[in-house]
Amino acid sequence: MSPLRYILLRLALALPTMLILLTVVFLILRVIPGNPIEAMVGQKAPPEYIQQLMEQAGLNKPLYVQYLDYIRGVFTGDLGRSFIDNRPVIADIMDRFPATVELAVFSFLVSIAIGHALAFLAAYFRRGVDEAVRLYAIIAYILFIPFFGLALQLIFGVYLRWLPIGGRITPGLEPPHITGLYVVDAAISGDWPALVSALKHLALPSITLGIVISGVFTRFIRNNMVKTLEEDFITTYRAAGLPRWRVLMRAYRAALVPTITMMGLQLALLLQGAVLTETTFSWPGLGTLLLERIQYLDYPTVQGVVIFYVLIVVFINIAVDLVNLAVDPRLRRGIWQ
Amino acid sequence: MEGLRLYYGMGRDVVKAVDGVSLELDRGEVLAVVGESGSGKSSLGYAIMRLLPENVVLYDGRILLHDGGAEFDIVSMDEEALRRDVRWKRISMVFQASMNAIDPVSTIGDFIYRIVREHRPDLDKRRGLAAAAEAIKSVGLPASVLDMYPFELSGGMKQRVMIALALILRPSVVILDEPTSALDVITQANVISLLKSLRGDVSMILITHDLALASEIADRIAVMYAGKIVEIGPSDAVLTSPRHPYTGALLESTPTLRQDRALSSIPGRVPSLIRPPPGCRFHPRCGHAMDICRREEPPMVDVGPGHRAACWLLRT
Repeated sequence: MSPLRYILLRLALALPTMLILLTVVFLILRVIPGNPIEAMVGQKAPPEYIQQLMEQAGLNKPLYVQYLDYIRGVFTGDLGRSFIDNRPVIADIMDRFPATVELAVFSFLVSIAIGHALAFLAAYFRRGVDEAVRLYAIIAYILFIPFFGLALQLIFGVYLRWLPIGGRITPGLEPPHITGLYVVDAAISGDWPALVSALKHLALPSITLGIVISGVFTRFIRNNMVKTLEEDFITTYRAAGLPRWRVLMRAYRAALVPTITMMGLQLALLLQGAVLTETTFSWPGLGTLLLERIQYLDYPTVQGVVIFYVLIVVFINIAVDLVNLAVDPRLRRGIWQ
Repeated sequence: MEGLRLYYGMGRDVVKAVDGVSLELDRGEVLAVVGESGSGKSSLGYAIMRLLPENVVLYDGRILLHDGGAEFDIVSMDEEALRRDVRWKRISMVFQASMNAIDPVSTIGDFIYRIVREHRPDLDKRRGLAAAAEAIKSVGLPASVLDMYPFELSGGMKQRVMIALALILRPSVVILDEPTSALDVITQANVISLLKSLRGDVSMILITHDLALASEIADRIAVMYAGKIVEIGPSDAVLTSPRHPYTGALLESTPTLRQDRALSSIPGRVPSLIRPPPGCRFHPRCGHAMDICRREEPPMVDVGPGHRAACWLLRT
């Protein structure tokens, strides 16, 4: 099977999952009590006006017709218009998506850095260090993001005054729009004040989310390495006089496939954590968009964001498979031939 | 090697896997260490490499290696010096579980080169791989094996790769732990003839339960029982006129194709290495056991040229 066919197959297999999720979200939103139009214009608006707006939004049609319209829209790339600002949902998502990407990428970097460092320390020194690292992993995992984030805000933002406690960048310093990622845009255009401001604003949210995710990483990588260290080929390397740290590297390398798979799966957890982190730090990403619009029962936007999340997870899973194929000869020779 | 002991902890017990083993190995000589499973013979191999399990509680004695005009005491030498100067360079090992002894995510060439480079930093990748190709050919495999992964090789091929790897740095001693036991008969025969062809170039310690293999390759045979050597001597002498009752029983329980005789088995089972029997460790299973055997451990007695055994029968 060629790589391209493999990717197409994976996408096709993701379709049923997406359809199920779409349906569930569609139904849940309509089960939630309340009328989106009333939520928007207020209950005191004249009933004729509300009726007129409902007609405009297609909300007076039978439920199954609304559903079929919506599905048709999704598969032709039209996610509808927001009830709130009447803009295409896609436009709202695209405005907010770069902020979420920026937060997710930096949090991910923080968590893999911590995860690898601690896992290697634990596997290298074992006694004592190992126990401490395992304790860290559990504590990090059970941290509740809003509380932990608040603690960091108090210490580094309010008390020490080192870092800003919310937002993406100091207002007025926004770099020219190229990719929408402030850090990248500022670096490309050589706008140093913007770059520094963006990084400072990123620090607390990405450390918060990164530490929480790092618990799972640390534990998983450590367990994989310790398990691999018991294998026979490790004895060969030890007998052959490889230094301890190089033997560790080989154990890490042999366990790379499950590690990458796990990191990919954690990206879904990262997106979920990003919603909480964004609200804690008033980060203008998809998570805050979702939360704002749920309050107004803005059906199209909420559905659109959920679909978008699903798409991201599907793409991450495909990427994980492709990376694993590149990393593990056993998989590679099995599938491509 | 003098008074080598390796004990390790298992729960609250202490397993005396190697309990005071003394022997010597000449340059170019092949010594077979034979014994039943659980006799401590594999532990002896690991003890010589100082590849100790994490739960080791006692490791002492002396292993003196004379090589290249220098003397190394493997038991007491500095870990870093052991790693740099002795392991693989002077003593290498072919492991019992060769099937999984090769890095699963590395080509054979990269795997061999990774180890060679550690001791020969002067070799660049091209020359390192050339050396690997030569080693691979010397064990009768095509050089194309270097581009393959271990999961693409048969058990016999992996065993040959491990033998090639063990020899590539021209060590003075190679320890072979059950080199043929996981192989089919034809492959066994190939590996045996390969080992025979290596005789004389390096000293070999062949750890095996297979007396036929030992008799075919070894110059001398040491019989191990419950962590101790009970008889050691030239292969012919040990096999034709065994002096320890255990060696005799071991020979009688080995089937041969040429002779048609009844096989006998040794009654009882291998004693526990946690609480070995007092006195001679073989006495509970020995048909000649006397009073003294239950009380005192028999000393090693000379019974022929280079042939010694530890049994009270030989002292009376």
